[in-house]
Amino acid sequence: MKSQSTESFDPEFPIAGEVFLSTEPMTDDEFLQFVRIKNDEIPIENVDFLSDLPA
Amino acid sequence: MERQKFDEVIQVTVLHIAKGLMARHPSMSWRLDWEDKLFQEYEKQRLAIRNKMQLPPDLSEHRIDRHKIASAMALAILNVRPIDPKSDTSAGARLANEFLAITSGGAIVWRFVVEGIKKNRPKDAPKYVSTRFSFPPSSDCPYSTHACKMLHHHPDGGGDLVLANMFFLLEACHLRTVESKHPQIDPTLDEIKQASV
Repeated sequence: MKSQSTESFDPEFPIAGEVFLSTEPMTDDEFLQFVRIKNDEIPIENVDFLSDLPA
Repeated sequence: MERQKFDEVIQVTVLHIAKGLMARHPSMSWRLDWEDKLFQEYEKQRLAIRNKMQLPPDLSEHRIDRHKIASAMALAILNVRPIDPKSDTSAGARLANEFLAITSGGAIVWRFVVEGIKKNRPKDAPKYVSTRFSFPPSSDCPYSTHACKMLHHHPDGGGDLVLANMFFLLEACHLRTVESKHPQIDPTLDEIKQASV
């Protein structure tokens, strides 16, 4: 990496449009509920990509 | 990467982003000796990725592309976990290191995009400098939150090269964002890739 490559780094936070994660306290159970992957979030039955694959 | 250069990079990525996080979560603090540990872990991750690459003979053995730099930094953060959430039990605090990892990687990619444009098309540089790194649009909650959840479930990011490819795709999305914001420019990955690593 060039020595000057970071000298003019944008002083502003370089990530756009993202809202920080919640600051509300969560119990362990609530946190696990928040991060867990729910089966019903992925409608597998509606994904028909296999039919696009060559035989 | 030399330690001095590494310190410069984390000054404008990790430290910069963590400053915003800690302002929002005042009880959080840095873990002891996190900078030394992060440097050691970054070098370990960089070497692991480098050993998986087949590079042309004219490219230095010490060089890896920017998506792999971002991946190595993100994985180092995930393993060292520089931020201690202390008593803060919010989701933001518990996923602080995941957020730091994904956004620090994004910040590194963003910097290289800007450097590539400055070098090859300086007149367009202000458009890239003024457009912050953009994650893809996401329903339900921000993309970065989904990414944090992914890293929570898979703290190795699914593997260093998987994470590097994710940063590649994020860069492609960011470039399309800049292009749509400034339709008169025609960014191409080839020109941007010419940033020095």
